[in-house]
Amino acid sequence: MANPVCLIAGAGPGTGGECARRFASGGYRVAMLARNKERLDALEAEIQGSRGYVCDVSDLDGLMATAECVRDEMGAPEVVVHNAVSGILEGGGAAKFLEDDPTRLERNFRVNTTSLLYLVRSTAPAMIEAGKGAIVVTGNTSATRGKPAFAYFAPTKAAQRILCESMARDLGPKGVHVAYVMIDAAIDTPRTRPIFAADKPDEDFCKPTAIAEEIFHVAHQDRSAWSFLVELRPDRETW
Amino acid sequence: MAPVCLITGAGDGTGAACARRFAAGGYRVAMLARTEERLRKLEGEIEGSSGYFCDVSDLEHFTATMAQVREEMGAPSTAIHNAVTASFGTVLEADPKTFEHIFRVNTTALMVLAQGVAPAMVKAGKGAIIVTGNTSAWRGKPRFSMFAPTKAAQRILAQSMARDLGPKGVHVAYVTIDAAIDTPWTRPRLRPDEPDDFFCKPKDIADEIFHIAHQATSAWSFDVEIRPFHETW
Repeated sequence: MANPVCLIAGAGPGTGGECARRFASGGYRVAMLARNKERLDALEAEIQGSRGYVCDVSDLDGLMATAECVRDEMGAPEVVVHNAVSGILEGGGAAKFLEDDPTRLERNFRVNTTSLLYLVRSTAPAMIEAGKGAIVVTGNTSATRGKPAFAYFAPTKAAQRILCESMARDLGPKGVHVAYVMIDAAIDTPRTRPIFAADKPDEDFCKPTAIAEEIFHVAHQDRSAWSFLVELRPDRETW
Repeated sequence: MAPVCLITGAGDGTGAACARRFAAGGYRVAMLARTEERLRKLEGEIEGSSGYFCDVSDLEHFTATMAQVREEMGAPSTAIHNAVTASFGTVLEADPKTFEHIFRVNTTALMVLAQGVAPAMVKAGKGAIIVTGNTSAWRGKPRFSMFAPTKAAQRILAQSMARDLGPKGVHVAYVTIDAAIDTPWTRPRLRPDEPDDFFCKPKDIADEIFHIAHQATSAWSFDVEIRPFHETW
């Protein structure tokens, strides 16, 4: 039997790319969805059995078509990792939220929340039929609190977490494990590093390899002891 | 001049009860709703109130309506976001196309409301923005997959606003109503045969909202939970 398929939405240079490496080394064929073709090509060349699919998850029709394409070419995913995210790095602009364009909130909602709904509607039926599967979503502290600078972002992550909860309660008894991983830290990626704290030591950051390890673990928990909410932070993080 | 209270979702339940309560408390009330007939009826009943036909999901029209309220009645010192929409069903059964519309009414419209009313409140150094929510803001049950996420987003947006506007004198609060509210449209759908006690009464909710809007600045609530005495929770 062919190795199982893991679909990763948001296969960037950080958590998404590391999840692709981790699941591949754990015996999965990995379908990577991202907007950047060059990066996908590089990951494809590096990770055996992986395939990149150029996809902007905010285009819901395109997302559904891509999920269909993955099913046709690789088979129905047994694991889905939703890691696509919008709005986190520009969150700061919201300090002047009274003047900003309110529809920015809706653009972030589309990527962070609606795309998850559509991806699950596309992939969960096969998991239910198989009686097993895992859907792991990466979130952060914004899912549980609204700071002013995150007024255009935090609400969409809170919505994402509660959508996951709603799905977890429905799909759990059908054998599909839904989990929400809340990362309470800056993640060490080429993109975040200069923005958050260029001069901080490595230890201040959550490392994508360590996060990917936890996500792999959560996706393989024994069904008698499933986590829904999983918090992750570096040892020295103030919280 | 009596202060102005703006209410979105001035329907048969909490919205209308708030209009009555704030009018009785000395406010001129601006009522926004989609039903012209109900607005005219409330206008006839509540002295000093004005009804404005407005679908808050039409963001431009909503913004224009708030400008009209400011011109005709003055800048609101209190705003209540009570407009709400929903659809029900599990993630696989529900119509996913409703999801973003629900988010727009419950959450984006709150952002637009704040943009419309907060600047004058900040300038005055006082004001209150109160949002009516429910337990869905805290948990996602399977049949609430299209609704609970939008209420959770609404609460976290309100929290972001509260932390920003509080030090500027503007009190933002989120009222979580953990019960069925007794309105002409909920009662037959939820439990036609339940006793009155089963429901949270709009009049009592409105009393609480009025109270929150007038808390002393040294002891403000953000999260306020309300449920009938015998509700299971």
